[in-house]
Amino acid sequence: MDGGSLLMWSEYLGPDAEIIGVDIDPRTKAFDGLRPNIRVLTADQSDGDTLRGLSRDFGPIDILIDDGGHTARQQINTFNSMYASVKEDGVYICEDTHTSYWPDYQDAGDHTIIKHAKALIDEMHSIYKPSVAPGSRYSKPLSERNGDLRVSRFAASTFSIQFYDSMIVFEKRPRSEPLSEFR
Amino acid sequence: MHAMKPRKQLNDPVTLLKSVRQSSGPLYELFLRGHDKRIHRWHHYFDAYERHLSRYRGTPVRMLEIGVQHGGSIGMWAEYLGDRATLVGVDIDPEVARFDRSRPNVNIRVGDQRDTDFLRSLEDEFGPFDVIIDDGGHTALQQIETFNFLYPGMAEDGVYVCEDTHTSYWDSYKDGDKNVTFLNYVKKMIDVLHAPYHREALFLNRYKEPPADRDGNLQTYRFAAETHAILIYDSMVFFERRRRAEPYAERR
Repeated sequence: MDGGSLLMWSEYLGPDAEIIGVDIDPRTKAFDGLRPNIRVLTADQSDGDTLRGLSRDFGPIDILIDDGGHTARQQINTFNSMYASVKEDGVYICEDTHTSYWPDYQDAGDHTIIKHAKALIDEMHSIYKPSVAPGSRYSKPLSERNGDLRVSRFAASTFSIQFYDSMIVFEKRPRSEPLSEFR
Repeated sequence: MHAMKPRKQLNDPVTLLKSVRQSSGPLYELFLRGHDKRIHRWHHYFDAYERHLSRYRGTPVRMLEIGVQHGGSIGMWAEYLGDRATLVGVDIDPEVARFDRSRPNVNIRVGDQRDTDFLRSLEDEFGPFDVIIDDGGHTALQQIETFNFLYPGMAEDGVYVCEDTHTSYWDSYKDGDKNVTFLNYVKKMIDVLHAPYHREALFLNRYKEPPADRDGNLQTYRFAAETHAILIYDSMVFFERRRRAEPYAERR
C-alpha cells in the first residue's frame, strides 16, 4: 500500500468516509492520520487471527478491497474470512486476479481466487439444485410456499459476481426466494 | 470478559427472504403493470436489466430478443426503449409471426436459434445489434452456440444477455455432454478474458511500460480483445463489450 491510494479514496469518497488501510509493511504506518479519516494498521492478511480481529474491530464494512499480497492463499483466505463482515448491501473487491495465472503466486496447490470465484458461481445457484427445491416452487406465489428455504450464507447474501480484467467484484444483497410469473 | 459472539461463516445455513418486490425502477414497473400480451419473467431480473440497459432508452438502439412466446416481452422493451429503438423478436414457434409490426418498430422473425443461416439473415437485415437477449430454448447447446455465433457481430459497446442460466443445473436442458453447460462455458471465457496475462513475462516486461514505448502489437482472442466484463447474476449472465487496450500498470 502507498499513501497515494489512501489519499485518492479519501478525496473520492469524501470526509464522512472512514478509510482503514492495512499493510504488512510497518513503514506504511507513516500514513496513519494523513487525513482525519485515514487510519493505517500494520497486520498480515495471511494470519487468520488478524483477519478475525479486523472483522471484529471494523465490521460491518461497506467496501472491502483486497490489494494485498495477491497470492492465491491470501486472496482466498481473506475472502473466506472477511466476506461475511461486509455489510449486507456492501461490495467486496479482489484486485489483480491475473495472479491466478502466474505460478509465482500459486501457493494453494492448483487453487486460485479465479477458480474459487467460479465455484462460487455454482454456490450462488445452489437454490436451483433439485435437491434444494423443485423448480416448480419458484412459479408458486410466495405466500403459498410451504416452509422456508435455507442455503449457504454466501448464496443467501450475494447479488452478483462480476469479472472484470483482473478484478472480481462481489456485490452483496439479501436474497429472496426467486419468483417467476406471468403478467 | 464477555462471551464471544460466534463468527458468521460463509457456509452457515441462512433462510432466504420471501420478498414480493424483488427489483425496482421503470422497467420493473412496466412489468408489474400488466399488459394486453402476457410476459413471463423472474422478478429479480429487472434490477440487472435496468442497470445495464437504461443507457439505451430514447436512443436508436437495435435489440434482438430470442424467445417471443406470448409477445408481451418485446412490447415491454419497445415501451421502455422508445420509438427510436428497433426491436427484433425471434421464436421457433410460427404462431408468433402475428406479433410482427404489432408496433411500428417491432419486427418478428420465425426460425431456430441453432440455425446459423437464420441468425446470419437477422444480422444482415437488422444488425449490428447493440443488445442481444437469449431467452430462447435454454438448452446448453442453444445458449452456447447462439452466443458463439452472434457475439462477435455485435456493436463494439453492446451488451449480450443469456437468461435462465439456472438450466445449467437441470439435466433435462443438457443436450450435450453432461458437463457442457452455459455456466461452465462462461467459466472458460473468464480465463479467456484474462488471456493477455497468461504469460507473466508480458506483465514484467511490457505492461509497466508507457504504451507509446512498446514495440509492435499484441494479438489476443477476439473475445478477450472485445470484452470489458462478465457479470454473473442469479440466472443471468451479462457480457459487456468494449474494445480493450493493452493493460498499463503505473505508479502515480
